[in-house]
Amino acid sequence: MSTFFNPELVARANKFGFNVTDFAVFLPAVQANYAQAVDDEPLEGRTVPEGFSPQLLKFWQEGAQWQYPFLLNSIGGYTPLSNIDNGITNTSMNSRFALIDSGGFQIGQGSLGIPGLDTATTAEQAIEAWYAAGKIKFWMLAWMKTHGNMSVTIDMPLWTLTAKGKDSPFHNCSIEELTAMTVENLQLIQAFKGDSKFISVVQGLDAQTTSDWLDAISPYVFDGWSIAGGAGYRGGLEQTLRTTLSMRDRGLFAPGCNLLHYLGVSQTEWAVIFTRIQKHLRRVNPSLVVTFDSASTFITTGVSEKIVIPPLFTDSLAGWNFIEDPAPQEFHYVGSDEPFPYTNPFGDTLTLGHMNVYTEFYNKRRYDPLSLAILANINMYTYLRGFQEANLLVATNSPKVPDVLKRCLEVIDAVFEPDADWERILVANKKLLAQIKGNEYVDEHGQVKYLATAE
Amino acid sequence: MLEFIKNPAIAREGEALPENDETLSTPVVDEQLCAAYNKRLDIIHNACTAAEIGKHTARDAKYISYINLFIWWREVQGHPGMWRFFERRVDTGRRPSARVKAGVNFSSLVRLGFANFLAVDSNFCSRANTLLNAIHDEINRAPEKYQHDTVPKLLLFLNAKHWGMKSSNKSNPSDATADTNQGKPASTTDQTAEHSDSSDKKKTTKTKKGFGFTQKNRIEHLLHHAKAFFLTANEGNRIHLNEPLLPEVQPDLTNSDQTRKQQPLAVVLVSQNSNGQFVVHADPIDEAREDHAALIRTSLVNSYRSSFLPIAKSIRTIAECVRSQMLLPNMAKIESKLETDTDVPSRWHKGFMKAKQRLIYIKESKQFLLSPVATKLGVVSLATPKDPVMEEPASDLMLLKRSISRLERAMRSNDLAMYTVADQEKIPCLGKGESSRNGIWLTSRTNADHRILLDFQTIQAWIDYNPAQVNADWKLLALGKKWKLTPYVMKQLNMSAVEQWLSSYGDNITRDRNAFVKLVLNDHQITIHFDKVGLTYQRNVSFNFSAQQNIGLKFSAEFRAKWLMAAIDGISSVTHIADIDLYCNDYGILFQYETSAACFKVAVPTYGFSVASSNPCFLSYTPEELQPDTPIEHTLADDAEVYADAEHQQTNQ
Repeated sequence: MSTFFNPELVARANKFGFNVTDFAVFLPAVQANYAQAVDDEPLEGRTVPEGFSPQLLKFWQEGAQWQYPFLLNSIGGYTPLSNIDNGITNTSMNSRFALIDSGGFQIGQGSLGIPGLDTATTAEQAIEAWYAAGKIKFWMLAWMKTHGNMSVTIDMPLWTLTAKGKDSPFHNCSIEELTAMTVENLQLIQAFKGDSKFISVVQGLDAQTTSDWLDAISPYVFDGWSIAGGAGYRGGLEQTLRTTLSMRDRGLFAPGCNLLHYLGVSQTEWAVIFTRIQKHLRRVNPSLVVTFDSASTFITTGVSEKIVIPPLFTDSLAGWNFIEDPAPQEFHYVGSDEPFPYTNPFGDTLTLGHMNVYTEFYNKRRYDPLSLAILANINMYTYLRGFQEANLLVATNSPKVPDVLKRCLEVIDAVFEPDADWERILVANKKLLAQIKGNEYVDEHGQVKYLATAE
Repeated sequence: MLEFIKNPAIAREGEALPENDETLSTPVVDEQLCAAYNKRLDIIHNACTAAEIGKHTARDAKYISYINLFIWWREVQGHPGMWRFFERRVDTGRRPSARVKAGVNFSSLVRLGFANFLAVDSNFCSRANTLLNAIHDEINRAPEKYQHDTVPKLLLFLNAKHWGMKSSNKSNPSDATADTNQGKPASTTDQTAEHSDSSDKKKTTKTKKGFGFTQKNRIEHLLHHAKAFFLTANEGNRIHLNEPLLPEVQPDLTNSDQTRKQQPLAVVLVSQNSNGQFVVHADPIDEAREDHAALIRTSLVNSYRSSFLPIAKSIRTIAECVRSQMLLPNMAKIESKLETDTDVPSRWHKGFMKAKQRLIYIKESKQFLLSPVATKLGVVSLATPKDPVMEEPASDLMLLKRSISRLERAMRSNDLAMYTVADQEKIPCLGKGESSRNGIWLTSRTNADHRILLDFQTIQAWIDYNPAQVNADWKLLALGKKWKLTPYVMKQLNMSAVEQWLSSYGDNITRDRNAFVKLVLNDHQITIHFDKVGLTYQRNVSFNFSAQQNIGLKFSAEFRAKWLMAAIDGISSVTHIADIDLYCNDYGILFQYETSAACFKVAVPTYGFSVASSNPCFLSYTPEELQPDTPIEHTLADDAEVYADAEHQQTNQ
């Protein structure tokens, strides 16, 4: 089986035990501060493991401690129109596969740095600010073209209309307005993209809004698709399958489409679900790759400062969760030679003293940016190994695969049958599918938690 | 066709926003007619988009052409003589200045790339220089970034600048090079006198602080001196300069005798007008033509300021000696980072002393020695004045660090000529007995209160610890292989390579890749390798000797970049009266040269023998009066810090 990925990258991942050919591919959403930390020199006098350099953390590059040349990076993490030098921009395009996200989340939040968007309180003000940001839009597109092997088109996310988006500048816009702005972006990108590759975003809050969105954007065909928000993971497994099948039936995965990406998900059960979806879609398009991403590892590290422990992989869904522990961070660990007490790619060379470096007695924190980068690297490795393990368990029909998951996979097999009445099957298995995490925008009555209309 | 949404931005131009929903309600129209108009609008909308995208594409194409031109230039520079070969195609016969307002002077490259367009647009060359300098600075700022996918990444950078890039790690190059520009002969091709004046206005706020001077000050106070120096009023007297103001015939790659002969030259005054055309002035000294006069004034004063010849004899040797190790402004900012650590514990703070420079006057030999202390290795400059410049002191003297710093500051902006001294011949003795010292005041021509004291104190008064500083075994160094460099080659090497390296890579000299350079000499050319990644140098630049050297000569060694590059820059800044002798051996190299004021020897250690104990060419010098009793293990202190402390106490008193 060959995919559109550069075979050299596939071989590098294989060498380190990551199967990116048969299994859906996780794209770690590398944060800007991590990309910066792996390119900086350690502070003068800081203790590091013998032979260590921050370059070893650049897992997408040759020479790293462990290698996995696939990642996602969001332009939303950068200041618009700035000159960015970090571990991603300083690498060769051929040496890794980077999917660049267009920062829809930051656009929705109004935190991208677009003048006027952060202070907009009405729909008109938000739309005016968005239209006035022409230079930023061009910069975003040019940046994505330059540094991305593939990029996500600029979409105006629909979650801004829900309870979750009550602080968004676009909260008072209508679905039609957000859709129309997205379509205008697509027209611009189509004219501007040249030889570069883009994938278009499918948004939705429920079945109807997703279908409407697809109607609006499907004339603009790029090199793949990305399923986001309530159209995908946050709509639950049922809606994810509905969106995917609907797109298949519209012919959107025909050869020429290289990538189907699910945004914002990093659970082991979803990893095997995506692998199963990939398997069925390859009947239509043998070179198609399903990918998924999440920034969870970096959030776990940067915000919570926790270490991720591999799932126990028991026969219940709860046993398939990654476990999180507070990372060992104490004053008395400063200067310690005691090995870091969790399995990690650096082995015993990494000590607690290498991680706990802030020496001020009253400082609450002991980890510096490099410690956090090392921790993120360890967590990332744990996540990737976890996804591989989960896929292997399913591939080998292990008894450790929870019954719920097995039955969900059977439902997936059923709905992807060529002549299946998939809508009927999905509705019939609604309760089963709802046991897989997701489903954030719809309440228990199946209604969208949709503030704009409620008000 | 997309249904247009309520877009206030669209409504902004020429009309107010509707005030209520009623005005936004869709009016009743003829559906058929509406559909027809909609269809037409659809077509126009697509055409509008295509036109705008076309603009972007055209700008991209323009940027890509500049990027490719720049990359070509970098590659060509890696082949000895190759750039000169191409440059000659567009040689105007005038000596190009190394730098222009935008930074490096890329005018020859622009002529090679855009020959047919220079006269079409009056400011083409200047804008092209700005663009190429932006590329040049950006690549040097982050070389790792541009190792791969160079063209698209630079294209993004230029586009981002066009769209209003918010942050860059590099300060405005025109500011950074302000001082160095002023010292160069004005090039009428790229920068007119008016440009210099206007850019100077921007700098006024900066330079007015402290001891700074404006261009107006300079012209006001130096013009008549410059005229007298160069022309002696209207009589057209001849003046013999080692460094000709008019272009010298370039050394030819073939090195034939014929090509090295000075060609007959006619002198005319030519200026470039705003349309890029060159104008010959029959009567250049026409006071009625202010633009001509401004051009002449600026050129005269700038040339005058950049020369060491007009400096009073009493301080010239010292200035030339200090210049041999002086850092350019960008590196001076990080001077403390560049100072080498020693293995001598500091008495004043935790850690070790830094190898700071000290300039002493050696009474016995009547020489000036400039070298670092607390180490046995570093660049050593030895100046032997042709005539005595120091009123005979009782013992060795040391020039205080603050004096050196202020002297360097004046030299960095080429403003030494803006100071006068009371004694043109010698630095007088200012006291007798224990407080004996020599000193001379440099008084600003614009403000008598602004004075710099070159304060030579007796060594005993200032050095109670660590009296030794580096000296060189000059005889041993002179046993090395010998090359003869003409002042022209030295100047060319500096102008086309070293000065550019210092002002660009010099910003990032603390990075490992820029910390070292390699010097390679053979019987026909000199090459400097730089940008070291791992064990390999990525780039190099070569110059052919204008005179044949002994056949079979070869030398290659690595140096600390801050030592070798600063030394070449300093040595080539003075006006030589003879060829420069360069002696090379595995331990170090020795430049031996002569100006009309003094004979100089500058020794630079190689990196291969950077451990002091293993380099026999570098010794320590201890003033005689400090030698006897003090055991060496007790001579451990940063005397520069002692001076600073003592000066601080003086100030407080």
